[in-house]
Amino acid sequence: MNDSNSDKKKTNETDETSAKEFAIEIVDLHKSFKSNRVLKGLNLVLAKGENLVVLGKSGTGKSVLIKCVVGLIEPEEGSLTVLGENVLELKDKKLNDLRKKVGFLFQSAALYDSMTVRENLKFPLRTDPSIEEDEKEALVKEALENVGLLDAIDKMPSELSGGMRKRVGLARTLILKPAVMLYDEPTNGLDPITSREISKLITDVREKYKTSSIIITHDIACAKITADRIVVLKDGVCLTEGTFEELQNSEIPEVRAYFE
Amino acid sequence: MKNNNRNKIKLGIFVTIGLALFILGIYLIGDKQKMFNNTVTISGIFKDVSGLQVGNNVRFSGITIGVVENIEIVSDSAVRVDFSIDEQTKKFIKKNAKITIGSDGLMGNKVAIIIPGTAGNKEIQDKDFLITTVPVSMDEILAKLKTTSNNAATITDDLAAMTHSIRSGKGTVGKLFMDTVFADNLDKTLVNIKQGAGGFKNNMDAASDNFLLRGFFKKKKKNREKDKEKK
Amino acid sequence: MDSSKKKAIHEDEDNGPWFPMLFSFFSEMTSLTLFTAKYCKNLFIPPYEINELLKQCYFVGYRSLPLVGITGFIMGLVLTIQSRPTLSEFGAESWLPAMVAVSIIREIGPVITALICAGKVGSGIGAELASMRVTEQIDAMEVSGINPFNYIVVTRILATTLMLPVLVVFSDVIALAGSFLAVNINGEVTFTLFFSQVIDSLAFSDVFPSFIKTFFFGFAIGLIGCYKGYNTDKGTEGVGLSANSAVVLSSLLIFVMDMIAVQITDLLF
Ligand SMILES: Nc1ncnc2c1ncn2[C@@H]1O[C@H](COP(=O)(O)OP(=O)(O)O)[C@@H](O)[C@H]1O
Ligand SMILES: [Mg+2]
Repeated sequence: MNDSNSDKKKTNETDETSAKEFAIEIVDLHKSFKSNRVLKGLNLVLAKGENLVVLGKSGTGKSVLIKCVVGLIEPEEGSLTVLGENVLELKDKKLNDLRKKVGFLFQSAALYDSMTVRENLKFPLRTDPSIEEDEKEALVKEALENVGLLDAIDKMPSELSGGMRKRVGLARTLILKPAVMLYDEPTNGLDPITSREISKLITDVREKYKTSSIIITHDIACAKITADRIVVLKDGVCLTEGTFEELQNSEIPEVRAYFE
Repeated sequence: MKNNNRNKIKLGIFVTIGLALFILGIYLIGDKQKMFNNTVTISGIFKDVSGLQVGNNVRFSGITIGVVENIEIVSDSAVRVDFSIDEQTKKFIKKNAKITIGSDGLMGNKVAIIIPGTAGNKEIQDKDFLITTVPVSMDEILAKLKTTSNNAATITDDLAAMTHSIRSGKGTVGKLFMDTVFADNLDKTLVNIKQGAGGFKNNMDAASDNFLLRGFFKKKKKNREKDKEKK
Repeated sequence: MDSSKKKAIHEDEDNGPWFPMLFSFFSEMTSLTLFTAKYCKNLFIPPYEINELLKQCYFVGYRSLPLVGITGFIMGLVLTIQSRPTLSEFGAESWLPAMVAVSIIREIGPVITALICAGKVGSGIGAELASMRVTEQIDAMEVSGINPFNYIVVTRILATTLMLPVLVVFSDVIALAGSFLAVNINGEVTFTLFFSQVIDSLAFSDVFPSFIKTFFFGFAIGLIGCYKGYNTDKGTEGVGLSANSAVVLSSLLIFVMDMIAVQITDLLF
């Protein structure tokens, strides 16, 4: 394993000039919680404009991986470059500036319970003094329109269904016009029809906002709609990667398991 | 948004009332302590302040007119106490007024008591020293109270024995009170004595005149005769 | 959570059963100290979340008033009724207003109000923050470039610190009203007499130390509630645990602080 890692590092160094073309570049990422080793030298790149699906069983560390990307979790080892900046070395202000360029849709949508949908959407804009109140209102309406939920603007999160919550969560991340989107199990716990709607929405977002995205899921239907490329995680490292069709014909039993 | 503003107004009212109550309380307590009024300071030197503390009240004719401002030991047998007193009461306190230390009820706080001076004296001025009288300590009062009550007990014992004797008619006084015949006799005797005494007095006067003069002249004669014999 | 703790105890059995308890106590103390330090630091660095602060003040202060008022009233009433027999034994019934006023202002008002608020506000903050943590709302704030510590923690601790003294003022006044009623149940005392006896019995040295300590009580309630909620890591079950331990720990801290406050007051006044 060590050998392959050092190989990757070398290739990385040679590719330094072309690093700008990657939205995200993860090299040899290690993370463990006490005795539980979750990520064991993971390597991953996300090209600009690409929709990358990360497949993996529950508990393989998919959420941990993308939380590392936005600096919510600090890895012990490895390098992490997002939009040309080294996340691990960024501090307060600069880290926050980078985070505004990275949208994160949480597994549970993470809507602010005590606020209406409108206030939820306005929340990420609140620290930006350059935007007028009218402008904020317009942005909120535009983002809600993009996810098709304009009429829920004055509802509280508790009044929304699971699919609606995911869409409001998506609208909230889109309001900052991110360059990179990270989706954590966007279709988890939804019925197949709503799942398909959300998956379509993800492809729409790429069209409208020109984002590069990592989509974490174990829902193969979602992967089929959204994926340009698929990475399969197992035991804290990448097991294999390829397009949907390539993986469909894969011989590896762990990969085949998703398609049956 | 509207709701938000209404909540802010409620919060504002809540905090304002709270602060107003607090300030009012502080003002009332301060007013009592005469912290914000015009005051004059007077002092007294005590031998013993019997536990008087800064902040204790100063009374004049039973009215609280100030507080103890400072207590300071100035020598091994003198404690200087400064009192701050409402300026308006100054005109009632004369230069020869006295300060003593008492207490507010049996178990209450110590208070300084100003005993008014006599009319006709000048009124006190700021920074004046007043005469002090030694405060009586609680212990002394209790000790005195004890001897007094002991004495009282003996007295009442004697008194009881006496009245008992009197009632049973013993002794002259008893007879005096109890035996009516004797009292009658006594009455008569007294009248007789009175009359007898009157007569006796006259007789004695006459007798003494005679005898004394006689004796007196006799002595004089003898003396004269002796003198002649010597010559 | 229980199972993991048990496991930890089993693993450290060689060091005796005390070791893990001591260890967790000291590590808890360390992280609480760090949390407090972070609060003190973030208090002075922007962004200052004024609107959120006012909102929290509204919830902590205004919304707690009915509860604090009712308990204050009952407290004054009961204290007066209970003190009457003892005082009348000494023939000092006329001292009732003075005695009750001093105990309410010095001790009972601040402590009871703080305990009520620890129960209502402290547990509320603990549960709210824990559920925000569990449902990733705090993470969501962080990734949208907002400092969740300033927005959530600083505002809440500041709100409890500022609002508790105000609540205590209300509670004291309402408790005295309850006491007036109780004094009047048997025996007539006019309002003016009661009022002047109460005012006469109080000095600045009664009011100020107890007023100052209420700020610390408020701070303790907010701090512990936020600490327990913000640092929860036990999933949904952690919400209840956080609320519970926030109340227990902040109540304990209030008593400890009160003890220290009494010592300091004794020393200074
Ligand atoms: N904050 C944390 N503290 C301790 N362990 C964690 C934490 N977050 C995740 N883990 C552990 O990391 C592993 C991977 O979790 P996660 O990334 O959420 O899985 P998934 O791939 O299903 O998203 C799990 O075993 C989980 O217990
Ligand atoms: Mg996950």
